[in-house]
Amino acid sequence: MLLDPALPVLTSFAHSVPRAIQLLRHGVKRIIIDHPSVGCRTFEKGNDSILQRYQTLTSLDSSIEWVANIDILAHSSNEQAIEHAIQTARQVGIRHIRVQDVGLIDWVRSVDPDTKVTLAVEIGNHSQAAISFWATQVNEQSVSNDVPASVLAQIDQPHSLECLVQGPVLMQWSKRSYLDGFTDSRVEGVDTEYPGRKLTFWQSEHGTVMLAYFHRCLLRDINVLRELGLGSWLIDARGQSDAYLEQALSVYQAPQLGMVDIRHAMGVLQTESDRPQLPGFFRGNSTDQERDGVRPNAIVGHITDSQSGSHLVMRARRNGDVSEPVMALNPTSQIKPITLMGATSLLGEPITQFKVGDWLVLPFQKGVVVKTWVIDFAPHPDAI
Amino acid sequence: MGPELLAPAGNWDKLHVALRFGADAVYVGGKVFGLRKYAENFTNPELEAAVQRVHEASKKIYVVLNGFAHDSDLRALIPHLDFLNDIRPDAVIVSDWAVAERVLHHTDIPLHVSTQASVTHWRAAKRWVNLGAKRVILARETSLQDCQSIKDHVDTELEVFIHGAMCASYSGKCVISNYSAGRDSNRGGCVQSCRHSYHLHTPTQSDDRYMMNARDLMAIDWVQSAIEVGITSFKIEGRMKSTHYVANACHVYRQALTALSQLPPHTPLSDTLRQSYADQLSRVSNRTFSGGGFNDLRDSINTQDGGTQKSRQLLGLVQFQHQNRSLIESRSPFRVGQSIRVFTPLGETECQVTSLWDIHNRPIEQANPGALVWMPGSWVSGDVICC
Repeated sequence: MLLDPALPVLTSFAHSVPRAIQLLRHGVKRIIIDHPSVGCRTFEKGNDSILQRYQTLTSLDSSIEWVANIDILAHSSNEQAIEHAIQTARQVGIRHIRVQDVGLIDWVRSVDPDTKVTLAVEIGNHSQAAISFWATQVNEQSVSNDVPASVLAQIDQPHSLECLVQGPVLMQWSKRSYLDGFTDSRVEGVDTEYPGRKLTFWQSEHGTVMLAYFHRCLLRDINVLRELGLGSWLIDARGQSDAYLEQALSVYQAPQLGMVDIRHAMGVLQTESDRPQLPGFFRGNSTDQERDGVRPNAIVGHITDSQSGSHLVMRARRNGDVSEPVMALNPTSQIKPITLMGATSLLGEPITQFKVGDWLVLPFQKGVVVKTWVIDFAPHPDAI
Repeated sequence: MGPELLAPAGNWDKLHVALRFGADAVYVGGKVFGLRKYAENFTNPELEAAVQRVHEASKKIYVVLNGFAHDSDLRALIPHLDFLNDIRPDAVIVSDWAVAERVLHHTDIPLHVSTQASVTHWRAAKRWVNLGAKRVILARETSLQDCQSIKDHVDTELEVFIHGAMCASYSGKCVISNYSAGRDSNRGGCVQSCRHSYHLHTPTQSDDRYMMNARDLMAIDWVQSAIEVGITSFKIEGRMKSTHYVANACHVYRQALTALSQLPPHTPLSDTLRQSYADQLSRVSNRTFSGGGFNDLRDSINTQDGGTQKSRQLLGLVQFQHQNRSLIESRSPFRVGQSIRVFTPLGETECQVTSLWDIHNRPIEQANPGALVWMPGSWVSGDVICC
């Protein structure tokens, strides 16, 4: 197949000869070799040794870049497996290792300083600053899936970044075994509080992973994706059918992506995976909203008790003076007038000044209820 | 000197209770980037007052900055670091390398690596120490063997969790809330989907179970071994837990550490004592217990029940004492004539509520949640009322 030279390196996983051959047939130039003894989500048990697998797959084509995936977290119990995988990679000529545990960066380099390291953390490089930091520590990074395109667009050296463009999304990884009692390692499931969202669980010797109810698919965002200038697009078809991988490889490396029937391709991917094809957080990430709805620096106190017609009680959250102009922001975000004038201590003594942690008994004021914030007066609501 | 007992202080009251019940140090979150958005967290004036208060007690206070930062978070971080540098907490706790870099560059406050960073092996610990970390808080999946290996290879302080709720996932390796509820698990928005029931099926089997409902950690049986490994700090989870929880956990583990310090080396606690501690810890709301990573996560999921259990109900917290009466901030209703327990650092005392007055000294029959009420008895601020 004729590849578009403007495209980044297409990268994908292989655990077997047929899967590797399928990738090679499509001209994939970077293949990550997965083995269950050192991979946290390989979706297969594998009876061959690391050496056998590394040797067998790399012997298929010596002209491409082979990558060893060692993305488990290191424990003293799996040190030997990790050491063996690193040494074996060097032995068979693999000069690129993919890690998640930051401790493996120096470990890999202690065996071979020239081996390239890709940091593929699920979480941990989702700011420009973090990505910039890691750029000084490793050769390449697979960016976290919650980094939106707007952040990627501002990265100085995007060619050292890899982005998942197609495949399942890891939602969590546990060292625990969730699926005891099931004969299969792979189990489908739904959270009973979110019915209709089909999840996938996979249990291995390293614990259990949970995959999202959709597949990340950036086909509808392909133009934005191309403009980012990333070094590598990752197609993760682990656990997926050959037809799924076939479709993904065809569409993401089509010479003229604008001419591809994206709707048809997404239909195939959806049918094969039985999962909606969605962009995840690629278009935006607004998960970091403040919950309080109030500027922290504006907080004077909060109302702990409100006895209608009798009194209010405020717990001070800063030092202050009762003559300061303040206002009340109640739990339904309504602003109410309030004054601290007339405050007394719990013993009924008049108070003029208060400090953090003090209790102020106030005259009852209508509309001020328990859990109301008392905040600095601001002339405009935007200042809250 | 023995290991440090480190307690959560989700708000001003919990800080006071933790110190009163035996904590050597507390960890608190500010309003900026503290990973527990639903905990009350400390305003800057509260943080400043808290540092002063803790230092006056000759104890230590650590400020958590352990979310994984997005760019908008980092913009707010530098002014906050300047503020922290002025008020001088004893350490800040971070997970994100970008945050760590800024802490090291903008402050001279010691850096502790959060459990969210999932450090399970000495090589990862060494990388953090080489960056400048003073202490590494290990992942809760870390075994004692892992701890020993880290201690053997890296010259650093190690901190481990000994009690409290646990993530089912490796902490910091979970984004369920991000995708299920639009809230960021790693910036304080966790909605605890792992506590839900899941319907599981294969072509031949199906089951409904609380598959990820991690039991709480209780490490009474492992504390001695951890001391022998050389762990610096024993941490209690739970900035969002109740004052009663903080008081109880501090009280029990303080007793245990004191008892162990008085025994000859390698001498275990008696079975009677261990059972007594376990019983006391079980009184307060919990999801049943396991030994967590100390016990290789064996039996660490309660698949049958997503709820909690307890044998004590928190009624209120003593705020103030004046002329043989105590002012209680009520958390649950209680009435005149009711039997209650007052929990102090000396233990529990049973008594009966003979009278109640509101803050205007008017007799009342019942204390309602949130109300401040006077009760006979010279209890001390920070004592816990329960039943």
